[in-house]
Amino acid sequence: MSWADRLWMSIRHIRGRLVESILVISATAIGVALVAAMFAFIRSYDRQTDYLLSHPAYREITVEVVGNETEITEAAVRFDASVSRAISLGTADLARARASVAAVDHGYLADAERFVVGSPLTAANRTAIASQWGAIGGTGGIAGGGATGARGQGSGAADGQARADGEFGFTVPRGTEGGTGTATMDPEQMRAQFEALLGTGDDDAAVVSELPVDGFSGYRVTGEFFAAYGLRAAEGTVFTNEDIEAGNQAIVLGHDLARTLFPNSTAIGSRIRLGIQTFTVVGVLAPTGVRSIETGTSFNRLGFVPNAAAQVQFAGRAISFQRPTRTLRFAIDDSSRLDAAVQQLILFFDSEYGPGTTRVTASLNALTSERQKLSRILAVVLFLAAAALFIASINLFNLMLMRVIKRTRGIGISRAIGASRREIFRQFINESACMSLTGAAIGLLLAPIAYGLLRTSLIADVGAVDLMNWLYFVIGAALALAVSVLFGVYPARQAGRVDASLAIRSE
Amino acid sequence: MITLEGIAKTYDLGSSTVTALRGIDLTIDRGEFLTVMGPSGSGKSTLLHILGILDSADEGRYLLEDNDLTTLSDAELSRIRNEHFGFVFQSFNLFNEFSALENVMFPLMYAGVRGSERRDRARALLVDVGLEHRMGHYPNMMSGGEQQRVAIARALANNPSLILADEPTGNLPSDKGEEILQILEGLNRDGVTIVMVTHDDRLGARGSRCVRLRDGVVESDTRRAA
Repeated sequence: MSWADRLWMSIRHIRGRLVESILVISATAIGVALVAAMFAFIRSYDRQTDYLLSHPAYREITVEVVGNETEITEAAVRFDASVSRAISLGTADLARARASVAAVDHGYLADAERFVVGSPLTAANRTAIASQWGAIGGTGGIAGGGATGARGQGSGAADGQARADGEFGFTVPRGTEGGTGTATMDPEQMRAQFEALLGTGDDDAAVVSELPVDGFSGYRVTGEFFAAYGLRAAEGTVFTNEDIEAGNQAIVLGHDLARTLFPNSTAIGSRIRLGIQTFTVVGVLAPTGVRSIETGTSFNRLGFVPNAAAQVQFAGRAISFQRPTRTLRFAIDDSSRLDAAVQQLILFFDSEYGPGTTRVTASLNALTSERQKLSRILAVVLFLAAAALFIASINLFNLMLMRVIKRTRGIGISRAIGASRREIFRQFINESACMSLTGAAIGLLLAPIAYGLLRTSLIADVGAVDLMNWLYFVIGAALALAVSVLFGVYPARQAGRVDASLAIRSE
Repeated sequence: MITLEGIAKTYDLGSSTVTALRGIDLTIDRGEFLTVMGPSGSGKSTLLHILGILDSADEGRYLLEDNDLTTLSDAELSRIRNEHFGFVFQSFNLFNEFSALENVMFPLMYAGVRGSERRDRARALLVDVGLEHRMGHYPNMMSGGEQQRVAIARALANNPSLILADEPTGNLPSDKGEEILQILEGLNRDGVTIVMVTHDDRLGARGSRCVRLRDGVVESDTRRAA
C-alpha cells in the first residue's frame, strides 16, 4: 500500500469525524504555536540580554538628582527650599567624583540629541537672531520660568530664519521654589549677551554651506565617553575634556556619517553649522559595532559634539546655553567592580549633597535583576505552553484510541482482506500524524502572533534589537510535532494488535 | 491443497477456558465445494478462521500446498490472505464509510495494484456480480443481497484460489440467498475452491463434500458423488 493510499484513507476517516478532528487539530495548533513561540522568545530574549550586557551603556552607572517627574524630565535640578539654592549636577561634579572615586574608570556626560543642519551665519542675520532672542528673553521666554526656558521654546520661536532649534535652551537656576518668581530682563542687555555668544568673526566663509542631509542624530558628550564606548578616531582625533574647557567647538563624526556628509573629500577640518553653533570636524571614528540602546542606530551614523555649558551671566545668574544634563555617567571596564563602584559613588554623592538627594543606578544590575525576574516568568509560561501541548496530545491520544476501539471490526476486516499488523499500525500512525501535522502547520502560522503577544506583554522596554529567530520556531515546532506524533504511537500499536478473528466475530 | 493435522484451539475467557477445536485432521483438495456444518459452538467459525489464517491454532500443523504456514511471519501470512484467500461473511463486513467501488478496491490496494488499474479491475468485478449501477453507492444505501454481492466482488479481487464463506446467506431472504449460492457455485465451476460454513441442511447438501463438526471434532465427512 502506497503512502498516497494511506493518506487518502486518513483523509477519508478524518472527514468522516470532522468535528472531533477539527477540535483536536485546533488544540494541537495552539499547543504547537505556544511552544514554538516560547522557544523563539526565550532564545530571542537571551540573545537580546546578552547583547545588552555586552553593550557599553550597560557598564554605566548613572547618577541623577532625585526629584519629581517634572523636574527629572526638565533638568537635573532640584531646589533645596531651606537654603534656597538649586542643586544641579554638572561637569564639575563629574570631575570631583572622578578624583575621589577610585573604582570608576570613566566619567562622562552623554545626552542624545538630534542635530539640525543650519545655514551659515552672515553678519546681518547674526545680529537679527541675537536681537530676536534678546527680545524673547526679555518678554518672558525666560523670565521666571526656569522649567519653561529649559525646554528651549524661546529659541525655537526666535530662530525662525536659520532653522528652529528646539534642542538649545536656557537653563535659569531658579531663585525661589516653585518657579513663580520673575526676573526682569532688559532686552538690550540680552541681545548683547547673545551677540557675544554667537560671535562676530567673519570666518564663516569656511563653513560648508550645503550638506546632503537636513540633520543627523548624535550625542553631546564629554571627553571620556569615547574611551568608555571603545570608540577611537580613524582620522584626526577625538576631543578631550581639555578641548571642551578651552571652548573648542569640535565635532567627531561616525564612520558612515562622515562618508555621507563628505562623500568626496576628507571631513577633517571642515566646518559645519548645527543650530546656531558652528563646529569644526576634528575626528572621524573607526567603524564600530556599537548601536544606540534607545534607537538601534549604529554609532557609525552618529555625530558627537562637546557637552559644554555655554553660559551667559544675567542679573547675577548664569544662563546656560545648553540642553540640560540629566545624568552623570560613570563606567567601569571590569564589571566585577560594579558593586564597589556603585557603593563609592553613593557615598561620594551623599556626602556632597546629603543623603537621598541623588540616585545612583547601575543599568547592569537593573538588567540582571529584570532578567532573573523574567526568567521565572518565562519558566512558568513555558510550563503552561508545554501543558497546553500535553493536553492537546492527550486529546489526540484519546481520540485515536477511541477510533481504534470503534474500528476494531474494520481492522479485523482489513486483516482478512490482506492487511498486515504493520500495515494497520501505519494506517493509524498516518491518521494521527495527519492531524498533528495539520495542527502543527496551523500552529506555525499562529506562532509569530503568539510570539508578538509574549514579547509585548513580558518585556516593557523591548529595546531596539529584535532577534526573532525562525530556526527556533522550527525547532520548537519539530519538538511539539514529535510529542504529538508520539502520542499517536500507542493507539496505533493497539490497532496493530487487534485480534482479527475476534474482531470479525463480534457480531 | 490444504492439509490440517491435529489442529486444536482453546480460547481463554479469563475465568474459564473454552475448547473450540480438539484435534482436527482435514485435507481439502483443489476444486472442492466443502460445506462445514454443525450446531452452534461446534467450532465451525474457528475452523474457518484457522483455514483463512485469520487465527492460529494452538496445536497441529497447517500445510498449504505442502508448505508449513506455522513458521511464516505476519506479513507473509497477510500476503497469502490477500492474494490466495477471499472471505465472505454473514454480516457482509463492508467498510460503511467507503463506496462499493472503494470496498472492492481495498484488497487491490493492499496488493499494491496501481490507481487506474485498481479502479478498472474493481469496476469489472462489480459488473460481474451485477452491480454496475451501484458502484458509487455506500453499503448502508444497498440491500443485503447487494451488499453480499459487493463482498463477493471484494473477495474475488485478487483472483483467490480459495473462498472462505461464513454463513453467507444467513442474513438474507431465501431468494437472495439462492442468488449468492449460485454465484459461489459458478465460481466453483470455474475452479475456485470453496469452503462454506452453514447450519442449513439444504445448503449443506449443495456442496461436493460435507464435514460435520460436533464439540470440536469431525463427526462425519461425506463426499457427494458428482
